[in-house]
Amino acid sequence: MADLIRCRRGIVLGTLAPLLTLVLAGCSGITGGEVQSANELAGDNARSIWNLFVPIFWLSVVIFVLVQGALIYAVIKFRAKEGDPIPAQLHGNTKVEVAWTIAPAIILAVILVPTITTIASLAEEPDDPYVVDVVGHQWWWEFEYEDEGFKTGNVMHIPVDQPVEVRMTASDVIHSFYAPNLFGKQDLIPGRTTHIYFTAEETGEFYGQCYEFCGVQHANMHFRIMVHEQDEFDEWIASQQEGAIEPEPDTIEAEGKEVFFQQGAACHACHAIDGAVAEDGTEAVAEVGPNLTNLGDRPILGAGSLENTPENLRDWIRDPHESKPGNEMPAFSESQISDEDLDALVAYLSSLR
Amino acid sequence: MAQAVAANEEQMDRWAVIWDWITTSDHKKIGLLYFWTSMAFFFVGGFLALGVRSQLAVPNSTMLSPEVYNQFFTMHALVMIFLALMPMSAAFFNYIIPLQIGARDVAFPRLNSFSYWVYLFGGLLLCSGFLFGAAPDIGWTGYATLSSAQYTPGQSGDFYVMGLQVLGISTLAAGLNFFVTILNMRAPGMSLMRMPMFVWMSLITFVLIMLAFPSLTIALFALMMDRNFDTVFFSPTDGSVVMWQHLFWIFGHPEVYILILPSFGIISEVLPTFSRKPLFGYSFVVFSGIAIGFLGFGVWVHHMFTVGLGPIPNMVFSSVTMLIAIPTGVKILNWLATLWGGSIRLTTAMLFAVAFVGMFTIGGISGVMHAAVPIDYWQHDTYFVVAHLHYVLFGGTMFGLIAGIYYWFPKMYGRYMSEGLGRIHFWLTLIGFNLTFFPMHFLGVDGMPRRIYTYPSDYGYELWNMVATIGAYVLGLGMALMVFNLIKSIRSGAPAPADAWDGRTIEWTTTSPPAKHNFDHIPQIRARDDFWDEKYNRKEEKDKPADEHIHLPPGSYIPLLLSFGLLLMGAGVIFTLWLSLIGGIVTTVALFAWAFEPND
Repeated sequence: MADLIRCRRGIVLGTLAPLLTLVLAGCSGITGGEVQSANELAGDNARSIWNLFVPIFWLSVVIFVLVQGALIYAVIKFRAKEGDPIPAQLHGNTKVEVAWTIAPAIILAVILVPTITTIASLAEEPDDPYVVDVVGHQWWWEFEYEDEGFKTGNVMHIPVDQPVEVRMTASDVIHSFYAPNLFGKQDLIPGRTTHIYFTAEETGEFYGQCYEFCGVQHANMHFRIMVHEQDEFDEWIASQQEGAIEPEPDTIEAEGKEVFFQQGAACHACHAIDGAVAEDGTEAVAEVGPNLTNLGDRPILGAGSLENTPENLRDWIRDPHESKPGNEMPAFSESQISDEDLDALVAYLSSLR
Repeated sequence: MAQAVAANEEQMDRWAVIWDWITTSDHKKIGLLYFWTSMAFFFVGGFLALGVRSQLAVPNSTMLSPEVYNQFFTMHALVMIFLALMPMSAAFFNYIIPLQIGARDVAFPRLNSFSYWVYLFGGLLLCSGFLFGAAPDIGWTGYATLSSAQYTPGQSGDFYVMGLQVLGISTLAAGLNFFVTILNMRAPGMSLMRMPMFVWMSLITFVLIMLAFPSLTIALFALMMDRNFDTVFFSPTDGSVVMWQHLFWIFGHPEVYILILPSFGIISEVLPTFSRKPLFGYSFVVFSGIAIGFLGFGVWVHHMFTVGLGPIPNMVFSSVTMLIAIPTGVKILNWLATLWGGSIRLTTAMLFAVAFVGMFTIGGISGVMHAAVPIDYWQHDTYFVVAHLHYVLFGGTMFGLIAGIYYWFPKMYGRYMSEGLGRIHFWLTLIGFNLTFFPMHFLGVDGMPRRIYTYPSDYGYELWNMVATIGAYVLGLGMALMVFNLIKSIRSGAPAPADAWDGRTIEWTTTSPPAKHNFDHIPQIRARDDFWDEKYNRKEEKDKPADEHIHLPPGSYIPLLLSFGLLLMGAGVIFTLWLSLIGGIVTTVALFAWAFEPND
């Protein structure tokens, strides 16, 4: 076996490469800092998770370096050479064994203490939280503001610096609610209620999506969380309670509202628009799909399948399966909604804020 | 005329050979059947993985439809776990365990043959979903309520249930068979604490199989009833949705150790052989293995930390999960100490065994990270977990199995595998593997969920997904090279002597490949690493007369028939229950035939 190719350098490179990338990952911009990153912190809940992770990460780096270092050193140092005698047949050493059984036990105990306390603190219900109810559907999110008496879809609004309780369940299959900047995830389970407690520390728009595989369109089950200053949030609540904006008569938006209720489109068969009433007195109160009362205000369509622009909304209504194949909304051909009517409908829906 | 007769005879021979393989109860032949079948399924699983990686190479990809993508990632997991890794371990159980314990065959040779055929038929049943456009697409975990008839109508869910149910029978039968074999059929003098470490780790595996698989059987049975006969086991209103997860993971977590322990055993053979030293701390390695097996039944909730079971269960299961890192760490340090002070020969088998220690350590470390529950609230169901599980199952299990292939191939075929090709295979694999899976940690930090068929372009996921995809193709190339090496070496590899590597255990005392009866005389075991002891320490006479009476089990076609009956019963639940009836009749007849088959 003396003719085996020498591959020391290869071993060093092959094992050092992941090591270096790992260290770099900890220090710089190889990872993190993106819209959905777990280290881009804007909530107390996410912060306590990251604060637990960082020391464990560096401890891991130390262990990683020691083990890989010893491994590489051993392979290089004890490589067989021509004429080597048979090495001492060492069967073990009880003292050494006991030592390296106790050492990891101590390390793990050190990790376990902050783990336990963080589990407890994350599960603790804050005093007087602001409650938002979340229901997971295939494949969109329903947000209910029960005390305020309205619902909305796919975009959740909350006040900054105010403890929030997200109270969750699912209508069909299991989903999981997670906005990495703000809080750790919890599953939404049919027939059960789960909770997340967190306080947003910054205003802005935060990204999240479903993290438990929930069927064909699991990938397009995004949501956004809008964090507002308290007064701005109160305004938003008030405007939602007023219901949808009623279009001026004889505008394209007014025409669009008629299309909404018209046979052929019949959007109200699935969607609600609070306060919108057709000429014949029909109300839009269905809850099969997301509530559209403030659709024009949302940054996303189809739970994040598309950016919310009039063109995308048009394409979405014509064929929702183009961007989100398998979703429940039917396509609407020209015989159901003419191009003109569709323009009006899009204008109306985009005006709802 | 004479030519025609010769051709006819040749054809007869071919049929005789095929019949011999079909009815064989020789553990070595069954081992090879397991090996090549699992290798074929490994490439099916690999192809599916490349489909997944190709789809995710770029954002907003439309290469695969979401329906097909979901079938791909689900089947990738099912094929790799149930049809590639476990059966490849079984190939070594079959071929190597009787040789290492000095037995002529396993305890129940026909049951062994039965296990193989049920595995093959169950695998084909599971994969045949693709032929009907209805391969399982609910994730390998098959969570309720997504797996119900309401949310997964059609046959895909039934292929999942019945495919796994049939495969579970194969695994249970094999687990029982080898458990009894190891306990009852060891050569005289081989006390438990003289057993080779591969046999020890396998023994623990069989205990885990016998205790864990029934939970899966029950879960699948309940799901079958829910899907086909309107029961409500997993209904949110009348049953419990979370019950499925408990039943599944009470099986599913020990399953992880069922997958990794055989590889622990393999590298515990390879490292000492090529260091020319005994395994350091033999009894600590044994007892840490037992501890892992025991604790493995007390950690299943760490797959369910985000279910909302409450802070107390999460604290308890977090603690036990961290506890399991202690025996695992002990093992890693013992492997290091085995290398220390040795005389190391870096054969391909050794390279993979050494790389196993390095890669498995990474998987172990990331495992401790998400054992800390709050960190799991982040990492659960992100690509961080995908990275972790592949460091354990590929960097761990598969690297160990590949080490086993290069190590025992000379015993199986009487030829060495090419070391030159092996080396290239190793470097392609190590580099491709790390290129594929290390960046997934980064994607996990950036919050990329697993099991998504597409991702938007403004989330910062592009770079590392592209790197991972390139890595996957490098890895695929490495694996293809391994098969090329296998086939080339079977035909033209350098001939290997009985003791191909200056081995330590008794499988190296018999010819390569071994005779049908394994050993001319049943060995008398005097020490741990008995063969090494005999070569270097004992000076007594080695040649002993061959045993006069050698009992070998006869072949039988009944295991195949019985397996076929089970296949029909499973397929009947998917297609039409009449098929189950026919299958039931075939199974019953075969069982009676089995019981009354004359035993020479």
